[in-house]
Amino acid sequence: MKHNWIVPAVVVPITIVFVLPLQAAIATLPYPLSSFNSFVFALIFALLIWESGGVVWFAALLYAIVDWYTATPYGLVVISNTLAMLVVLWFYRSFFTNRSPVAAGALAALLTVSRIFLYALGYFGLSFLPGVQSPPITFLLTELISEVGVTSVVVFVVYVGISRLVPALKVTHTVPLRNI
Amino acid sequence: MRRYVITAALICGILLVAVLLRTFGSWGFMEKAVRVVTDTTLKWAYQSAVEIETNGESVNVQAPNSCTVESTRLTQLELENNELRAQLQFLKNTAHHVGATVIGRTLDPIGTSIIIDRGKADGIVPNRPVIVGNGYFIGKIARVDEHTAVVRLMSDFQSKTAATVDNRDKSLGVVEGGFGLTVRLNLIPQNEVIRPGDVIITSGLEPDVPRGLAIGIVEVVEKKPQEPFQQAIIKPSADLHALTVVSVILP
Repeated sequence: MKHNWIVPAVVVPITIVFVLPLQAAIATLPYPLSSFNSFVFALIFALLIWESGGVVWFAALLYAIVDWYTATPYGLVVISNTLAMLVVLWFYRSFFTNRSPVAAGALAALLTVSRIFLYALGYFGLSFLPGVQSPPITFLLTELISEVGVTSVVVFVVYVGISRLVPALKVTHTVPLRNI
Repeated sequence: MRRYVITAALICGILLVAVLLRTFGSWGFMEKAVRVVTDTTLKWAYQSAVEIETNGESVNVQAPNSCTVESTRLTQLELENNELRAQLQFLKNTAHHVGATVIGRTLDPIGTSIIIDRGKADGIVPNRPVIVGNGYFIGKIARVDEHTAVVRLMSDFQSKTAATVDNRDKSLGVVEGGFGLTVRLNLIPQNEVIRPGDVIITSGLEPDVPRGLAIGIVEVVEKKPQEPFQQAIIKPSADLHALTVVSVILP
């Protein structure tokens, strides 16, 4: 599957079209359920199923569209989130020795932490622009904790639920990945 | 390690070029085509989610029959109608305004914003105030595209609005977000008297925001003698969670 580019070429746009409205609907849920991040969910499962560096470009494409609908200067969301996905890919290649529900949950947590860290870093870098203000640290930490908690738990539970049904998610040791 | 840094730099470079091309409008044709799909699906998902939320109490465990579905639709239409009537009543004396439907909410990683289906083509410009109901201020336009705009709600950590207590002449402080469901009125001088229950409105000191838009009601006043300013916690007048129809006040 990972060498076949036709499947991602069809699956990626469909996923994007599905995940965007899903996130819009999730945002209306009561707290802390509204902290669930369906983008992180989709990206982690794409990484575990696809096991290719192409997932970084998937993240770039997804967040390029998400960035149309944010209040931040265009580019901040797409660049910070794509780099966060790159960091997670490297961690997956270098430190993760198996594919399991715990690994999936940990990857989701790592992706959330990296993306919020890089996003905040970008904000601090852009705070010289008029009207751009850095987020307060306490606010960032609150957001981070709720998002990491909810998203990781959902990824863990869904992995447990579908790993027997999807052969690509069978609990196993990882194989070396190709370079992106 | 060096290879990792080079890869990251390359990706950053490619993305920066893409962002610059987008800024100069080179992706316009592609963006338009994709937005036809994404705008529609976003709107559908958001409106459905809000509809379910607003009718949550009437939902029971049985599968809905056609009568329940019709009743849900009518309730939703009634709510929307009441909201539009209230906005129309308030906007009678305002020369320029445009109504908009909310098509989505907060795709921003840590911000609090909504997306509306009106943009540059409808005369919307950044920093214009957005209201619901009978003049309840909810936020300001943060970003405008051709047919959509992003509204930064007053609960967002970047939101700042000059405000005062109703029936008082001078500006009292600045309403700031970033504290979850409540907002705070900061920079209130120590000698000012402010009490729980006071109605907070926009002061009109900002060039784009007229005076008199209701922001909320003071819930708690935090006054420490060693600090130069007081703070007040405000409960917003408008429900910022389930917005469906809003109005943008134009210049």
